[in-house]
Amino acid sequence: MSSDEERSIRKQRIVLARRVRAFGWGGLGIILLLGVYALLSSEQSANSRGNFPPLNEVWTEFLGNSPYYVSNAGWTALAAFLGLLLGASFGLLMGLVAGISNRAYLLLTPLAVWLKATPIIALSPFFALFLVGKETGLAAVSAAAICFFPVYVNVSFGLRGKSSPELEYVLSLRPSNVEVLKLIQFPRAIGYAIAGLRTASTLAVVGATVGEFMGASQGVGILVINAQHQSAVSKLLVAILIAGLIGVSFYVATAAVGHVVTKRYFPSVASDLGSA
Amino acid sequence: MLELKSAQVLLSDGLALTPKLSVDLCPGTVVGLIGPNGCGKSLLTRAVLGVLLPRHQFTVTGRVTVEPGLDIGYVPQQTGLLAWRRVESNILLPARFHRQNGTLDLGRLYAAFNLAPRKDDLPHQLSGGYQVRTAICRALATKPGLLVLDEPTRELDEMARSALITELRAARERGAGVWVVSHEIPFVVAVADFCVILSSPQAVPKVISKGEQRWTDEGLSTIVIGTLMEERVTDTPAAGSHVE
Repeated sequence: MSSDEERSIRKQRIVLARRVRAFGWGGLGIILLLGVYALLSSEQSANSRGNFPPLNEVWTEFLGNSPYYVSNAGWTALAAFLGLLLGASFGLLMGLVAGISNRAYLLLTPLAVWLKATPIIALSPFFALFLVGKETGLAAVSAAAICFFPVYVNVSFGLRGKSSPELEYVLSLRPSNVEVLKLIQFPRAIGYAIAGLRTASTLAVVGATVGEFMGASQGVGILVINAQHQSAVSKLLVAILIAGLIGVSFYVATAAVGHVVTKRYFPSVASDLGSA
Repeated sequence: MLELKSAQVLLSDGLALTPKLSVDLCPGTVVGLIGPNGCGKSLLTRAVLGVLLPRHQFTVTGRVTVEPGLDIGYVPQQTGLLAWRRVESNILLPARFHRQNGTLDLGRLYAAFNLAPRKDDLPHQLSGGYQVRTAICRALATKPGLLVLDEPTRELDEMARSALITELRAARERGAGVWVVSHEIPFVVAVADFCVILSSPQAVPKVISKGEQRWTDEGLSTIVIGTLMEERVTDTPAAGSHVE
């Protein structure tokens, strides 16, 4: 075996060990959380307050009605995905414009901050006025509204990055603005854009769920409302777990896609993001 | 090819950061800028290139004239390698912007700076010395008409320093102008035709030419130390220098 092959195998082992360690710690966190819940659950059954149904009751509730829960989860996932796509695309586009033009940055940033600072639960009824009868559309627009900001801010910040030796060098070649964008600004913004997308991916589920509160007939938002009306804590917990699972799946998928893209085109950025 | 007339870098509020400098760099000439830390060598170098960033913080007074259309090979103090490009891709970058003076002879440069085994690495995988070697090869690759090197010998071992001296002499032979900033007086003595010794922004830069009695390692060191002691304050423009 050549020394290069040995080096490559050693490198793969290190990467694998890092991943196992990361998942190990993550798994430990979940086990600890479940342990604390089990403890609270056993405590409350002694006092018979009923706010923490045993874990097996929650599991039974899910298994007993799994097609119903899966179907609702699917609706929310679809709305969140569409919202993420819409919000992230818009955020990327506006971030690009703001990153290139200082005037556009000054014009757009207060609007973006205003959109972010307004609670999505206050905005959703407004969107509902224009999307009567379009349940998925309303949830997707709510998700898009909440996904826009992190992507916009990160992309514009990445593009507007301050002076650096790389920029200084490239400017010494007397490039056009487009070349500066291609050679420096765009690669430098990639890491920021992916970080923004990761944040947006989890927020998309929040936006979609809140959008469903405004008159949808399906989705995790409806599961939450129904569980609340029935005072069914097990159902509520299943809904919460489903929402969390969708968010985590979105996050993992976004991180994986981001990693693949950067590893292919910007390997040094990928190595920076790898630890995250 | 490069002319500075009372060129000075100031902060936008008017505070002088460098002395006023007048230099006329002719083809086939090497100028060395030496002086203590903070005397403005790198600022003047970036003013020559027009890359003082952020632009709103600096003002350049006097005149800096670079021959139009002249290709410039630049080694920044902090290398300025693009972290997302591999070594060879970094070295080939100026070829997209510069006119080609003959074919790119990367093999010779790789051999001189021992870069062939590292050409597919990313900059962060290189040691500091190899990063500087890469930046030097990038500046030399297209055989530009003007070479601007800001402390190119830091982190270089003897072999690479010797290769750099050979390359700079070759550049001078083919008629390139070379502007080199360094703290290493022996290196400046080895490559330069004249040197400018900077001290404080108020002091007049001293110009010492090859052939003068003081043109030795010891002679220049004595002058550099002497300028630090003088603390001379003046508002008059620096004495110009012209070396054929």
